[in-house]
Amino acid sequence: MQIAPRNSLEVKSVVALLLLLALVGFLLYTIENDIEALFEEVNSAEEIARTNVNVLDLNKTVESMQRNVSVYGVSGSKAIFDKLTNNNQLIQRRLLELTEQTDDEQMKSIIDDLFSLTIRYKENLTVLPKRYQIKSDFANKILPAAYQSFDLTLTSALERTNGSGDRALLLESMALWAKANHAASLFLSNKEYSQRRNVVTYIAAMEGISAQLSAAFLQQNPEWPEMVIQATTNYQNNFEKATQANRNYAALVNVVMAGDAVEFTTLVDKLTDYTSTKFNRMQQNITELSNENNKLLGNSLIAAAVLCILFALVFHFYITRAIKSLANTFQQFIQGDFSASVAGGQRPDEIGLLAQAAIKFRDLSQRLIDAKTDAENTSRIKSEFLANMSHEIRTPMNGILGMAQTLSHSELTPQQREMLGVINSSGKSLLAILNDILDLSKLEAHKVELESAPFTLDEICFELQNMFASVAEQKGITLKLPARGSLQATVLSDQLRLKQVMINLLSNAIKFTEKGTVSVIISEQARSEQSITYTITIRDTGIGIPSTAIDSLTEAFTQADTSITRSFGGTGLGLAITSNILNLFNTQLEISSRLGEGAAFYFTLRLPLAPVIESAAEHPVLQTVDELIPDRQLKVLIVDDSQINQMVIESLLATLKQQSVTCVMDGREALNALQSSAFDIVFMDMQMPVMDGISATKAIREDDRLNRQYIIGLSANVMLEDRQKCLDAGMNDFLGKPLLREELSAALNRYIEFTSA
Amino acid sequence: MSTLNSSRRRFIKGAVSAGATGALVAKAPYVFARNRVTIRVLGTHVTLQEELRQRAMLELGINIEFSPGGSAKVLQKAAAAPESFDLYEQWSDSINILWQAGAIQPIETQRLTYWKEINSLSKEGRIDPDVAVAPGDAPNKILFVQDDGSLSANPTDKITFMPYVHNVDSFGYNTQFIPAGTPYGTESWGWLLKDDFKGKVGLVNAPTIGIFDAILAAQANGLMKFRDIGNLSISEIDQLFDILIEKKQQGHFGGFWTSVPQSVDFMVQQRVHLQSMFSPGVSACKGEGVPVIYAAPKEGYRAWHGVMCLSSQTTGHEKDAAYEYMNWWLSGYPGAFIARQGYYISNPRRSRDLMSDDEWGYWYAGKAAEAALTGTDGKVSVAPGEVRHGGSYLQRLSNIAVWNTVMPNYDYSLDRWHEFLIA
Repeated sequence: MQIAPRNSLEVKSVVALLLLLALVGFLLYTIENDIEALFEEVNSAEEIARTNVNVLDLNKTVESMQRNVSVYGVSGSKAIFDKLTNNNQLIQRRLLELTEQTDDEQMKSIIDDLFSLTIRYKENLTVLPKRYQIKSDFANKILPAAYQSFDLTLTSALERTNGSGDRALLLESMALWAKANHAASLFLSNKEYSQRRNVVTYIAAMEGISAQLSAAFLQQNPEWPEMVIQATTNYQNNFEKATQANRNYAALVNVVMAGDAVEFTTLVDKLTDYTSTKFNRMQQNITELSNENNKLLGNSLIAAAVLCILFALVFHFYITRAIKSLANTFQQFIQGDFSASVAGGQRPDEIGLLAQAAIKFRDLSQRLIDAKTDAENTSRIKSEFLANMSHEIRTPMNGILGMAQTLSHSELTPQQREMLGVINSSGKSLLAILNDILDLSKLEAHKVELESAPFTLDEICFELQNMFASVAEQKGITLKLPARGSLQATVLSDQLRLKQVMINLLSNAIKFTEKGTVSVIISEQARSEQSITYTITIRDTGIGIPSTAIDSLTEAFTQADTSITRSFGGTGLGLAITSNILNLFNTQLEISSRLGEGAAFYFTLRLPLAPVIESAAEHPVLQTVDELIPDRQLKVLIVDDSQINQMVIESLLATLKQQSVTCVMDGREALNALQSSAFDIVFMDMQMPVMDGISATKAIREDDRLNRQYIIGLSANVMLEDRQKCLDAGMNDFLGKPLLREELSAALNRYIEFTSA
Repeated sequence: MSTLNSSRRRFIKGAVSAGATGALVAKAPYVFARNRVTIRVLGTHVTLQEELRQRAMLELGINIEFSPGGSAKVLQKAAAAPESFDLYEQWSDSINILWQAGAIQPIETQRLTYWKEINSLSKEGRIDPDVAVAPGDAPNKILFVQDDGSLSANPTDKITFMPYVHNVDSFGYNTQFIPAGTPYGTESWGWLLKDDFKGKVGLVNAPTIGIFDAILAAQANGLMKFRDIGNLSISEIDQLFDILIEKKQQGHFGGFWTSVPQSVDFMVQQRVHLQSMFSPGVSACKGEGVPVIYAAPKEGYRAWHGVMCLSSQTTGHEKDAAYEYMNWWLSGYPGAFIARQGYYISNPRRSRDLMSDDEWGYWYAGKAAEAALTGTDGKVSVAPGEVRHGGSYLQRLSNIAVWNTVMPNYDYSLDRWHEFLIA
């Protein structure tokens, strides 16, 4: 039966596990992504940190640059100027590095602006020396030269002039001229800005003084006024130019370049701010990412745990319990209790399949048990039937044989005796057949158990000799048996059954042989302290058995198939019984034969040895009729509901010279009889109306006065259980019907022994 | 002027419609001329604009090289190396320095075609006789070269510069962050030093200009009094810079700009919300979508007058070409061009024909614009209905607080400016 995928437990389990796997996979994937993002952020943060450091470096360099510019302004030193150039180059390089290190557009834009500033600064730098030169030249060369020149003129004029008034004027002019120059110098070099006015003032004063010079002087020096004007104009022009040169330089350095430097610093600050913000933002991002990650991890772990627990719960309740329940049910089934209910038969999944199998198993087992019970019942019914039949048949048989025996002890004509012989032998044959049937049934019902009593094979051979010697002689065939005394070992086994087997085989051999020899060969195969193993062979030179038949027979023996064996042998049952009995002996009957050349039936037997005791050296010898008669007169009570049986026993007892016989019909009458008289032996039949043998025996045993009464049970049932039942009920001995004179005699003798013991 | 030149110019003028600037700004084609003279012009981005150069080269047939740069740098370069330029364009505060340095030579008014059209602002120092002359270096005071080589307001036929571009400056502020004030009412120079705007104030890094923004701001806030704001004493300078340095150290200033583009960046990047500004900077900001107002402070404007000077070293053909270029500037087109950037020209009427009525109405007449007006960069700089902040040409130039000046104590102020810068 196919389980639909949507019902299948396997599918569901796989799906659940896949779900879990997917969750884990998703987790791993997300975590990996987050970690990657984290790493990226961390890298960027690192990058920014590096940039920050570089940027701060820049500021320092710029500051240093401006300082150097100031120093240069004072000294004009080339070394300083080189330092400036280097500083500027350094900054440019740094900026290029910075822009390489980052991908951030905004940062790149700021760095670009910074770079433009440095370029401008560099351009200004290149102009710087010239400006400085001009400034320096004006202040230190041109202006002093202009001053010197007129100073010389004044000096030479002074030398030439004698007039005191003029001389004084000239001297004052010189003083004023010097003052003007000094003022100029202070203004230009010392930044005394108030001195600028003084230059003009002093020069104007000097011009005024010059105008006061005497006419004589003017006559002597006609170009004087012009010279004065020229000198002052020249000086003032140069002063203005010097001033402007100063301003130029100052403007370049202090306004233009300083402005650029300030702007540079401002941009650097902007950059640092930007990177700091970015850095902080990144730290925040990292923290957030981390937290998110942790949260996600936590949540996912919780989710996974919940899923696992859910899955476990579902698995337990839905699957494990069902399986356990089924297991318990099966256990109960195995123990034989089929009342247990099967849970889960309705489920559409694998467990449902199992449950349905369990139900089927229960049904089948139930049927098996019923079948067994039926079989047992059948068997029991069969056995009961057999027992009943046996009893029914045996009873009249008893009559026939008993009377025949009795009759044989009376006066008979030879013709009568011959006829009686036929009745006897027919009766015995019939009895044999009956016994065979019973035997086979018992064997098939496995109701036969082997006895264990000591005997020797010698005894058996002796009996065989007695039984078959005359028949063989009559047929004209030779009968060979093991030599008397060659098999002395005492074994513990079932003599009767073994004898039965050998009788059967020997009987068949003689039957199927017209001429030649029938041999019984017993060879010892092995011997130990505990056991002895013989191979027993019955060989004949008869018609033989075809090979196909041999195969079938062998198969039948191995399979204990009695239907085939019945198609052979005299009674039809002989081989079947033999083979069954040999199976009980744990061995197997084997055949070897060729058509027309005779046959050999053999088997190997392992028999336990009897412990060495004073064995009965005497084997039971057939006693003469006379020796059977007991040496005493006994008072006998016969309890049997069949008049024929009564008669039989009575007459047999008569042949044994026992005259004191009383007969009653049932157990009650027996009890009554025993109350009034004493008897030596009570022959108690089993099946009687009113009170049967068992009950009567029990009643007798319960009676204080009677409980030592010697009772011998009689029954047509010869099963072991019946025998046992009798003994259990309290009977002293047991005889089977039909009665045989020898057996009766033996039982009487046993009583005699019993009482004398 | 050679007839050839005038006729050529007339021919080209006729071919050009008013306001169509872009179409004609192409590479100057090879104009077949006698000699291709090259003149080098040194100046600032304010007037050294590429479109003008192309146009001039086209119309004049001469090669023109522009060297624009920051104010201070350009000035110091010109003063120190007059041989490096032929024409110098900047403003009047350069004159004293350049003249005293001997970097420039006098310009003959006879050679100036439109000398007579030039209005009284430069010749007399005021737009109108009823307006007082503001303190500082009013243009007329340094315009005329006297016989003794000094400069004064006394008219002669030799001038130190050709008057052309001029304007009144104030500060610009971003109305996204500072609510708009009323012209001549709530708007005040004092805002530059107000703590409300701490950290978001910018100044131009030019000692001769920026100092006046500071002076006006200090005065407007009542932080100090000046005897003559055009001529500060040393102690006044000290006092002023003490205030400024203290403010700087408190982090009041967001930056110091050295060029107009930089000033635009400052405003657009929101590094500052109000700062010294030049008019084209304001227009550029508006073009970028930043709503900057060029204030009309109640204290009055800081006026400047553009100067075009002739290098003392320029002679011969270059000198002739230089005069051609100078005259071209007052010939109408440049005046109309720069009007769209908010500048005035010394002879406005000649440019009026090259402007639309709406443009003239907004830029000069103080009227509301009827349509959106674009600047010379093609971007809208005036929205419909807008009135020029401060009103008409007359009104604005009647409200001058101070002229850009090189004070006698300039050198000291320079030192202290440096201190201020690095504080």
